Amino acid sequence: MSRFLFLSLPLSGHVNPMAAVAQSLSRLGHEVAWVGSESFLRPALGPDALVYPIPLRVHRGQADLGMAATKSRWAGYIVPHAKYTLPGVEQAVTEFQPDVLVVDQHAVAGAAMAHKYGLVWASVAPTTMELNRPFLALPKVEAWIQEQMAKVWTLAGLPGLPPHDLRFSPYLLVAFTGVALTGELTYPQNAELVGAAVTARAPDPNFPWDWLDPDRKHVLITVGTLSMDSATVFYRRAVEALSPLGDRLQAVIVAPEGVITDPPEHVLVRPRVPVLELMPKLDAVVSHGGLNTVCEAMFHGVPLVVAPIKGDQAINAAQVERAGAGIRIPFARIRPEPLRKTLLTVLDDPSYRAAAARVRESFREAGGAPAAAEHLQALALKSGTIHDGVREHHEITT
Amino acid sequence: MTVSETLPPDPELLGRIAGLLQEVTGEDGEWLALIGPDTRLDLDLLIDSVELASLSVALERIYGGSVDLAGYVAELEIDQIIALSVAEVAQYVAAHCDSDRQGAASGGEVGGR
Repeated sequence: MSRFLFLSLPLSGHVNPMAAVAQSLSRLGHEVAWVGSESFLRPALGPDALVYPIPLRVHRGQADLGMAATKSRWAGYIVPHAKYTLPGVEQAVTEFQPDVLVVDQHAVAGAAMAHKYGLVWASVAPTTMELNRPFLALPKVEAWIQEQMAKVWTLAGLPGLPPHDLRFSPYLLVAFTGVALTGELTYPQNAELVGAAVTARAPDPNFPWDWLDPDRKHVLITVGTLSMDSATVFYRRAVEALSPLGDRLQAVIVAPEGVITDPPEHVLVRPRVPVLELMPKLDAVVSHGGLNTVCEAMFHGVPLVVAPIKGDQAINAAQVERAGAGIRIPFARIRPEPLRKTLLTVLDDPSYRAAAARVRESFREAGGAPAAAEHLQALALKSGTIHDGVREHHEITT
Repeated sequence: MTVSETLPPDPELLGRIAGLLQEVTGEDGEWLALIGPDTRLDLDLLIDSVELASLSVALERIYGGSVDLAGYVAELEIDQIIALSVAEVAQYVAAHCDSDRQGAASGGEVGGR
């Protein structure tokens, strides 16, 4: 039995697949703990999970688009989150004494602490933002990101510069996507693509299942938890796109209260939706292309219309389109008519569903959360040897 | 950022670049009408890396082999990429296009797709 300490960012799309892996590790008889916000993690992890608490703190940033979003993600979110969580992560490491630290690629405090305590650690990629190193073509952007990670290294009390990129464990990277989407990965070499890591979540008894009419097709529209004006515009256009389609489909839109007033009879607006329970009943998903939603749709063989907003979403959208499992549309610029036309294409042309089914099969073969747990278990078994190596290396270099 | 400081933007060239942006994004005339010299490719138009590469190829095709917008952007700092405007692209093209293709810059036909 080994001990695994999980560290993620307080984002549902990151915690959901990691929680599935943690559950698989527990089933294999290992001891798992988390470090992070109790109020955020508890609903996702359930009452029995061991959580070393760090109070939730809202960080600025993340509101921009394009390259500006990359900048604010690092300067306004990743670095402040790392700075804020470092002491709590350090305390959890010393108290729980994990054999392996399992670290979200963007929770770099975990990578720094693993180095500080000579721990074996694995990186987890809940986004595709870092796979294949998209910013290598922009060397000054890449150098700026390295500077941000060096700040966290220094804040952790470590001397000099990080010996390697803190986003990539030298031992293992587990990514929640599959080659059917990414194609052959060029970087990193130690990546294990396990497909979607999905676990049963608590059922939602309040969802009006009776509302779903079996004679019509069903569409889910979800563009993530945004508070941007452009999301409101997108919802309005989506409702306009859907309005003449009541004879053939019903749509569930995930949107905050008050954003969509007076939806037509065949459009249901809910602030929260049991996505995994709903997925088997769906014929298409319209999404901003967050990897978690994309992979959950692919896991159920449901084709997509993807309207990427920022970050890795454009990459995910391009991959879905290349796989033939959906169509990419512009988020901010799409008008109701092309949106309707695109949605109908995905619903009516069987090739999209067939392609989604192919991705689903490849995801099933990739093994999901149980496969990720096995990779982590194998790393823990090796950790003794690696530890000796780390120590020797340390003695030689100091 | 020396390019943007040395030459004033040529309105015709600005119009051609806006037209190419419309081509690579597949946008409509309403969208095109919103583009001005100060419009930023990243923050305002949400041009992604794929669209930028297409724009770069189109500019090279029209204005000559030493116009390499993708190469120019690759050398920029993150803040410069965020701030990159249509005017700056125009000034870059004006400074790097082949002299015998000036016609293309000021009034020649833009190749279709």
